[in-house]
Amino acid sequence: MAEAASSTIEKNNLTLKSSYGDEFVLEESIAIQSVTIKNMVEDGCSSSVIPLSKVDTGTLIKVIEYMKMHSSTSSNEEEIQNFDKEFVRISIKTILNILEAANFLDIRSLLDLCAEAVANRIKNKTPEVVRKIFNITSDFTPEEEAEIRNETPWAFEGDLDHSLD
Amino acid sequence: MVSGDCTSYGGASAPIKLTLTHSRSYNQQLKQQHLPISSEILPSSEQIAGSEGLLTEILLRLPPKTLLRFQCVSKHWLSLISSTYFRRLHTRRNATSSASTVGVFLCRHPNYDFLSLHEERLAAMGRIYDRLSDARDGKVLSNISSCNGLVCLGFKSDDAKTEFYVYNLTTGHHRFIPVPDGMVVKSMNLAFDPKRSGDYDVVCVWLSVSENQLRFSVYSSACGVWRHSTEYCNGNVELCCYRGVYWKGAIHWFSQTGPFLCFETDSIEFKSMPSTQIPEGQWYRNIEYFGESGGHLHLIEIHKPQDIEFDVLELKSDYSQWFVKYRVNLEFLTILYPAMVNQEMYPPEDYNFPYAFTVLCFLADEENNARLLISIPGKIILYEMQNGSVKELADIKPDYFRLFIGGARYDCFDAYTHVETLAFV
Repeated sequence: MAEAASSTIEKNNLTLKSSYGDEFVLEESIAIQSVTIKNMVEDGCSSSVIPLSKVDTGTLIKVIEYMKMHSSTSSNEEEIQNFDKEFVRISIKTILNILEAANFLDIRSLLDLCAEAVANRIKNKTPEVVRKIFNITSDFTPEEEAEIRNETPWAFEGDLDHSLD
Repeated sequence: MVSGDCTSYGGASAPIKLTLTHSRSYNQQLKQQHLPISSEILPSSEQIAGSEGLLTEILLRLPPKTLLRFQCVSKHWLSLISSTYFRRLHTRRNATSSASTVGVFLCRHPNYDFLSLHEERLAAMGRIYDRLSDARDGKVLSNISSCNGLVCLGFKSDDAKTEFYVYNLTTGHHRFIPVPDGMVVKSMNLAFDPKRSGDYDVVCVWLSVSENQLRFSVYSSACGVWRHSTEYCNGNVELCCYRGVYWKGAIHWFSQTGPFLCFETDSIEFKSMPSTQIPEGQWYRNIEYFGESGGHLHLIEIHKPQDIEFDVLELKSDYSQWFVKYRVNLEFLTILYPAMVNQEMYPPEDYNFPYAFTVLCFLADEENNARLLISIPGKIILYEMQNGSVKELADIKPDYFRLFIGGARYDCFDAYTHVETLAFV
């Protein structure tokens, strides 16, 4: 079964269905950059439509855009690097959505790209801003927080970034 | 209240709640609750904040300073960032390189300062934040050995007894190094390479009074015990005056008059290494810099005191020879900074230093970008060798400082590079 699938890999198309029900047709050779999809194809348990209940339409469009670029044989390394740079010039929240999808779909290079991008964006931010970005309510008492700050005061010095994005 | 899935370090999944008021309830939820199957789609930011796997992916890519700051985001983030598992992973992943050198400690008793390489020009040395002084607490430092973000410090107390500690000056954590009786310590040399291990060694050069010999012993942080080398180092007493440099699993010492020395920490044995030639007609070398950078061992020798052109030598990785890596000419600096040219020559004749500068540090990275940190009268500058740019990093107040010929400046071997690390001590 698996052999039969791989021998016809070039010709097959797969349909990916977002959590909103929108369907996207994609060549199988492109889609199998996702290890999750690849496993489904190899196990023969994928009908032509693959439902991705954890990935919304906007995120899926971005993921497909990424997979298409990275499977393209006509683009060179520099073009791909530039593409990656542009690809993450979006809101942090959007990158986090893609990161989550990359994790679910198991696309390592996309996961690395997004994690790196998020890290770069939050590197100089204050803890207050980070809480807002990740929707976290502090569970420290003011005394506990002051204690942590006093342990390494230099970590709170310098020009910190107060912007939300 | 929002729930997300959470993968613990053991690999098992357990749900946690993100909005918590007490840590006790956190533990109870870990044990009792099961992941609710939610029909609604949660915003990813909340899911990621609750998913240890993805959160770890992001946090591993952040520098130590940021992580120490983010420890106060929430209890969950604190427990993750301060865990042994995460710190070891982070230290190994962010294995240091000179590109990550954040600054240098400038130590010239009684002045101890920290000079940042990244921040904008600092107006006066007094403004430079001094992390070392927190550790020092007014005591005299008798030993400094820095290695990939950790430092081994000797604090001399009033009764002339010296106590040794290994510090992580990023986290402020430290460990006391117990020295067995009978070891008269000449120097402590730190051996720490996060690429090899999360543990470190301290190589102690000590004088055995009964044998009247220099001995070498290694303290390992992993088990907290000493191993004593049975090999002796004959005659080369001078080496204990200089700091040893850790590179490729061994401590290396230069000598101004004798052969260089290399001591392997695992085998606790000496290994042969090439020395540089002593110039003809001289009985000593004039080594101005000896250190590790970008994965290589470097050395700067100023052959003649009047030289403003010199070579940066690099040791071949197979230990076969020293070779010229860069030739540097700092003549152009004397136009920018006329104070570099001594106005008064200092007699006698053979002590002529027409140029006042010292190389504090040579910084090379894996991409072969090379920088020199140079102390000239009244200033510290950073010279980018590739594009020839010069950046002033700090002013040195003359009245604050012991004067050298040609104005206030640091001497070579006063600078200790610093990288930030979350490594445990």
